[in-house]
Amino acid sequence: MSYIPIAVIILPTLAAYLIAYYFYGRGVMQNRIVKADASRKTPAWTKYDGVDYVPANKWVLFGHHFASIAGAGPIVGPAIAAVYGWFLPLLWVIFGNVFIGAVHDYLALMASVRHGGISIMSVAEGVMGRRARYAFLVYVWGALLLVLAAFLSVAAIVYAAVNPNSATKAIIYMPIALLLGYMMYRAGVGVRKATLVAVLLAVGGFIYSYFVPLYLTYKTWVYALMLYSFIAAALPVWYLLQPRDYLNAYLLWAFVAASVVAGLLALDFPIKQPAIITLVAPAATIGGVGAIAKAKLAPFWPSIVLIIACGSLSGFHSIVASGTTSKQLANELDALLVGYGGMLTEGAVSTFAVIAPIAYAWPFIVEHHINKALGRFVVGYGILFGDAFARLGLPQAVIMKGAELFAAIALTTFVLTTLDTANRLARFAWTEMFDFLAERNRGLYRVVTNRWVASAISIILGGVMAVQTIGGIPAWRIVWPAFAGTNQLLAALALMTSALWVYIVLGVRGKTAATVLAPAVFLWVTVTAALAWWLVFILPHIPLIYQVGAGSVAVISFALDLFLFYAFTRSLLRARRVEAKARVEARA
Amino acid sequence: MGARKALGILVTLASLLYLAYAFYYGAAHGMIGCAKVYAGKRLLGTACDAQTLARLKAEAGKEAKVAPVDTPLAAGVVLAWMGLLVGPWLAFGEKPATVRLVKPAGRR
Repeated sequence: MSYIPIAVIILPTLAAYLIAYYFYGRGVMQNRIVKADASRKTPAWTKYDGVDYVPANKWVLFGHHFASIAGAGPIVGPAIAAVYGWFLPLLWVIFGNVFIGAVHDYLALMASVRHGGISIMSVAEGVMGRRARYAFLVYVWGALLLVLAAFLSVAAIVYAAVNPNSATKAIIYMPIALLLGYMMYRAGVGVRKATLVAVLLAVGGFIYSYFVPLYLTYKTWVYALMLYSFIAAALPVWYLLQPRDYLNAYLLWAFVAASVVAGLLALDFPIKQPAIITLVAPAATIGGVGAIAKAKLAPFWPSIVLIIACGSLSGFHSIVASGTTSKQLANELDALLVGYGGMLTEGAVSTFAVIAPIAYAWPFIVEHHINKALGRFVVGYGILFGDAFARLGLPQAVIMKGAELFAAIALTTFVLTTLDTANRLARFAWTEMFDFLAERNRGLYRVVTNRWVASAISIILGGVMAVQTIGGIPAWRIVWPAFAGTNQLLAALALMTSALWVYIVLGVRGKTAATVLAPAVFLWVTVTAALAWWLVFILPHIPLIYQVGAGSVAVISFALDLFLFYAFTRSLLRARRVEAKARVEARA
Repeated sequence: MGARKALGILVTLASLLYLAYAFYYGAAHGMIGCAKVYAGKRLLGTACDAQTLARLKAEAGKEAKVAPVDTPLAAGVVLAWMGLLVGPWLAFGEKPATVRLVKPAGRR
């Protein structure tokens, strides 16, 4: 055979994910480490309040979790990493996903569930101390404000300038989700019937919005979305968040299923991209702006951790898992599907919908100088889908057009989802930050942590960064080049916290403990190296305004990184000392 | 019926009615709201229906730029959207009437 077929990408990935889910996820993580128990009541039952703590059907919760963690991340990262070739990014997605990302998401979820639904940042207090907890909480809250600003801005640009039809769709989609929630939770209609009605209405809404755009200016959209996000983040989860994300998940599942089918139809198609193109990519791939954007300053390791986030591992996932998801988990056994399975599904999106199509369409991408990540994805996806489904006798042009439209619908839908979920998570982080007030001044605590107050504070600050410009550049954009490092640092810190939880609280030892401790240390080393690399080789060469904005964030991140690693090693060594002492005493 | 419930029902119905009107208007005119069409930097005109928009865009050719304009009709759609978000919550309250979706822990 003179060429490498796409089967080389598709089949090992499918096999790896199936084996990982049943043997590593269920066998090691669920049964040997966490020892998940169906009879143990989860916080959704023990702290049920009808607002944030509401038990959910596992497929509804999978829908919420998956739709919340999957924004544009699993698509954009691997599309950028295509400059290295297809082989190394594929390895990073598969191994990162199975051994780090899925473990990180699952353990963050379970650690939170076992501690009454508190965030992974608050779990850190029990294993790393009070100072570590507050440092972690403030950092996460700040990162969420940045996410809010970015998504407010991106959503407003999409609705006002890029695709006003998607604004119509957003307006129609939300009431359908409300109706679904009403049917399931108030009217007592079964999940299947309610879903059927909602999906049919959503399809009708898509068709209408395809023909009718809604025009409003950028600033009006920012203010409208702020108001929406303020209200949506404070409303009960069963009312909008659960049903809306459940509906979204149908879109995502259709997207994943279509990608897998196309991959299977295209098994013998040739990979036209070199396996390895380079080991050092341009600085632009890791947030290098200005004159150095094209300079080769991004070595595969450690830069890859900054480039591919959601497809492999992402800190945002642990905030979702230990924020909204853990408060809705009805049964500990559901966590495997939701936490571990959700992350593997993200990896499947990266592999089947991005890496394989781009590898197939590479000559076209190079010839037409398609350098933007989303452009590469849309073109690669369209070409592979067109050619694959042509085998079933379907017209190629129609399939390509349909695939492009589908991708655009999915993307714009998730922008809005991420927006109000991020605001809800910011509200949780804000509330936990003021725990210390609960005993000192109960009245003030109630005011500060009131869900409407907490929701308003976060979205107003995010909104200011979306609307305010500095030197003609939106404020949030000035800090954005450092966001990849911030997000992945969160992943490293969350995994270290989970590893300590496994070691100290669950008392897991030996090789089983190493399945969590080793990835935690590896991830910390990789993220720290990437942050140090960025500070030394990228920061001094970017424009001054970015040096101040992104540079400050990167320096704070690096300091927090070192402090929390110190707390991690201190706690680990203390636990080992206590254990050794107990052993000696037992012998004596 | 409490005042909160009555207000919720009122807001929900008003929002639904307004959205129904706006969507009917959108179906009849091919768009909701208005947009200015530029050929480069030169303003060609303001379109509040799809036919005019298509004509102006064709007139501008490759240099066509479409900039949305705020209108009471489109702003009303956003307000009605918020009304639908808040109205049913006021009307039905916070707690779900049933959690029949889930199997209680321990029944596997």
